[in-house]
Amino acid sequence: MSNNPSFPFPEEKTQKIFSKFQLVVQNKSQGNELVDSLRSLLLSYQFSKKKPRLNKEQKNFLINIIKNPNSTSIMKSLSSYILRTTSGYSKGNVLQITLKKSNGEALESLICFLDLWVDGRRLEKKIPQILSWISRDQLLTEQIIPFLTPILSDHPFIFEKKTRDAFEKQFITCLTRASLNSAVITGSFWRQASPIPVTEFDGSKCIDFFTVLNCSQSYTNDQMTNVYTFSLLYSWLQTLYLDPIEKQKQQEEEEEEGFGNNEDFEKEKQKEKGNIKIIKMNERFCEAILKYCLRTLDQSVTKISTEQSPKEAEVIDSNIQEIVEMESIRILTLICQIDHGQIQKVTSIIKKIYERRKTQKHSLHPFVEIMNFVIINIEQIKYDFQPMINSIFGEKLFDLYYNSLECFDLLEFVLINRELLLENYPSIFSKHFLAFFRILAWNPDEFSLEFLELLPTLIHPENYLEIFHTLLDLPILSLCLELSLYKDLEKNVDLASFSEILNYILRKESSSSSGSGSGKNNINFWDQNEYLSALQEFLEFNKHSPRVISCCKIVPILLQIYFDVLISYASIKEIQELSIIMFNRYFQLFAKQSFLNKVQKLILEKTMSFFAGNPSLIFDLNEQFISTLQSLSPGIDYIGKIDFLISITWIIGEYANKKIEARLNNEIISTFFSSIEVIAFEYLTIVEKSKKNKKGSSKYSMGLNESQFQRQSQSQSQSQSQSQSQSKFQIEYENKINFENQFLMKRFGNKSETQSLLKQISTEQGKNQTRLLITLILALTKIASRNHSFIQRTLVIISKIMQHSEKYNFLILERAEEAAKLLNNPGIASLLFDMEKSARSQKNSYNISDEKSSLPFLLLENDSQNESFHNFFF
Amino acid sequence: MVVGFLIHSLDETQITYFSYFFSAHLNDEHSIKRQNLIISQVYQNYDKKLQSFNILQTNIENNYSKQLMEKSVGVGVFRVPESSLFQKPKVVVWKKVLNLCYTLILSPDENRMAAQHFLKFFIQLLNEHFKNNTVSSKPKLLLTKPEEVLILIEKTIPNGNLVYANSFVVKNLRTEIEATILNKKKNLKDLEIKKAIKK
Repeated sequence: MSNNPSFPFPEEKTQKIFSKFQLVVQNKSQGNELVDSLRSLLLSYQFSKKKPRLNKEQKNFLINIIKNPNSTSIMKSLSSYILRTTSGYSKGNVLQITLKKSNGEALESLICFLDLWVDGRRLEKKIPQILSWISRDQLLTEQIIPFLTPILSDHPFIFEKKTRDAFEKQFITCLTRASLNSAVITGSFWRQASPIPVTEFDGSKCIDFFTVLNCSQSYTNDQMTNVYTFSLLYSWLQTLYLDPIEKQKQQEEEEEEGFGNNEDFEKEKQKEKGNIKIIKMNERFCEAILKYCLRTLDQSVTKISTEQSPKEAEVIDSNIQEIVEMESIRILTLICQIDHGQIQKVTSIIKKIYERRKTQKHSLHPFVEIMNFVIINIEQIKYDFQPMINSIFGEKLFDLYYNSLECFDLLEFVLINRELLLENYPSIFSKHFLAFFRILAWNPDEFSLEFLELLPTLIHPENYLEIFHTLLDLPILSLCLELSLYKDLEKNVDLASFSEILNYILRKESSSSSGSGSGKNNINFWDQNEYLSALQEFLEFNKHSPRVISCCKIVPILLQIYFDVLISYASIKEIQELSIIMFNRYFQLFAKQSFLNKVQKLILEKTMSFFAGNPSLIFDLNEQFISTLQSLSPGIDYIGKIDFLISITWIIGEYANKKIEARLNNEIISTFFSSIEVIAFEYLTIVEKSKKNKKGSSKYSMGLNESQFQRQSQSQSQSQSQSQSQSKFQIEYENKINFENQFLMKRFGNKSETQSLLKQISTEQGKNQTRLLITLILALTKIASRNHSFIQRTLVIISKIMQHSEKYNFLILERAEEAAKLLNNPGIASLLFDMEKSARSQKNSYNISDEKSSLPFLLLENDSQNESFHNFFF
Repeated sequence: MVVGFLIHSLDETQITYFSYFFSAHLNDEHSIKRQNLIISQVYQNYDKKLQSFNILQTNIENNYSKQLMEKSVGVGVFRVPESSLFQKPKVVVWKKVLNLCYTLILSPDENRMAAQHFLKFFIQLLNEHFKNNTVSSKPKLLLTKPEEVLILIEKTIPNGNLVYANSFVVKNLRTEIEATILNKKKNLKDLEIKKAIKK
């Protein structure tokens, strides 16, 4: 073969290999020629884009190689591999051919092809034969037992009670009666070495029966069978005992839930029920497994003798002790699920293991298995495992975020058992959720799937606000985890201010769990003015880490799930609190443009949804709305403010109605109106001036400078002349542009990125201005239709638009005209925009009666309207 | 159960040097698509970990932390959800050594720690067998004797069973593998002699 294969193989090369193989088949070649051809065939299966198919003659040739006692192991392995690789095409016909004869040759062939038997019914017929072989010969048992795993996976039904009992009888022997001496090694010509006794890891003689944790200088067949049988146990118990029990449980649950109304469905279920056969476990087999597992658990703490194992081997052995311990706990857990009578006995063993392990520095794996046992048997166990939970989720997990294998095991455990965990140990989620976010922040690509499933479980009434902040700050958490490992950090950032942020972001305890209050205060470090400059500096540092970028991508998806849970389960009070936080966090986000765009868009969308379900929010948020409107400059639209402004204006127009929210008084409504009116005037002035002022022809700059000027001139005394204002405006304008360009450069890095952003802003602005003006007109019209004293002021604005109709988009003119017509007929306007509360959709309002509940959201009754959309458990 | 074992590169080429599916159902016309899907996912995970580590490594102060981080770059695990290519969900555990990556596709209830343990001793046996501790840096060396790699896989994961192997079992496997391969040489010699006599 070529030593320099090209990948993938060109088709001609594959063809050539096959032609050569056909020749080998025809000539019935043997020796090196055959091995070379088989090797080339194997490589062509590895490297050809399309797997070539074998004809019947070729297949028979390969089968004969396997059957031929003169064939070498290599020849057999190569032939078996090639047949195996093509078995998906041949659908197991290979076996029909092979087993026509029931002579000695068939035996070996059968073993080679056991797992290829796609037709399970045919294989079932051969089971008595297999059983008779394994009861007769240890060598055959050693070879057959590993084949049971794929057969179990593909054809579990063939293990009927009788077959099962026969195999289990054999397993008992394999597990408990393996030789206590090593295989005899032939020494020299004149002397045979005497058998060496099997030992424990510490070098002492084996004290009981042989297990996977014993040491044999040379393994006998029955010792290897013992090792293989232990490997098989978990899937044997799971497939043949636990799966039928779980299927039956599932069926009973479905019946209880009332799915059985349909007759066909009922019949189908009955049929399925007939197929589920729950068989009680053989007592002797159960005892043998318990005995074996208990022994391995004892052996897992045996000190490894350095004399017996060299250093390299010592590592393998200490590793395997932990792995076997873990496997034994897994098997014991299964036994308890199958036979509840064993729970008490096993619990005392598990307690001992935990007591022994808790003080040692070990990986998380065995603890995960201990927790799994505890949570599955929680009703029967009378032992407080809360300290273990606290120690694992509150301490160990925080330091293992970089170990993806351990984290994965833990996440899988939590996901599988989340219902039980929520009911019995809700603190894992409500108090220790930060540990999970730490795992996600470090492994955003690896564990995104797990986290999408896990997030709804983490959100509780006591932590939902903190989770919101943590989600938005996930890229910062990721950055902090990386930076916490940095040397010379002080050269890059102001360490004193930075360490405060770092400590807060990397905190182990949730803010809601510390202190007696609700914990809803001081969890947004963006509000702490003293940290802001350090924060800005800090965010600039290494923000392009791939890990941080991945976090930015996953946050919007997680936020969507977060909002879905809140909309389905949260109370009005919780929605109110969240809305205020959402509003505040709109501009307090990690400065990556795509992240900002997606998150801000989502926040606005969800704000709208919250208002639709709970219009009274207009009162709760009135101060925020007013102060924001009064502080906003309409020109500053490059960081998404125009969308923000449009949304607020629309919400005010829609919900600023005393009939919707009785707490709204005239003063608030008047302030709402005035704030929107000022913005509308500013915009109209901008448009007018933009036509006159050729100097600043850019739409973007026009919007900015005029608006600034308007605000300045309004606040200054009326005595100042227009020309003075104009020159002051020019200076202000230039300063502002410089400042903003610098700001953009600082925020987005390179010059080209900033310039392309400015270009984009410029083209988008025309569109945005139209949207904004239409929303402003509509909002003013709606408020005026409910309070007629505002009608004249609104009409003044509309007339201003109509006077300069040539300057406005036809869409604006159409809306303005409509609004004017409506306001000239106040009765009709009121009819349209001044609806009673009852007329509005109340179906989306949140109706959770027990607002003080501390139950996790997923355990609270949800809004029945949304039930079908948000079934987070399944 | 281990349903598949892949030995492949972990760069843009994503070459599969060896693939072995233990379940008959996975050896169908989609097996190449299946292995490519897994390899590309492993590559993506590794690549992102590596990029982050490259930025980090020059700045990490503590050597112990550096070692831990470095170690965590070369191993990984992820879930493969149910799809047209995989009728049941699977879990993938991978380990990168030099230029090669060793990837196990497992059924979800398999002991993942045992899978990790297998990867360690398999790589050790491979190095010993090829008498080269850097065999993973020369993947083409494996292609000169693919049948020996095949024997190694068959002996260490017999039919997809993860063997709970202590150092003595590993030693035993090593002897058995060598014996099987030596037996090949002996038998081949016998056959050549028989052939020669016939002539």
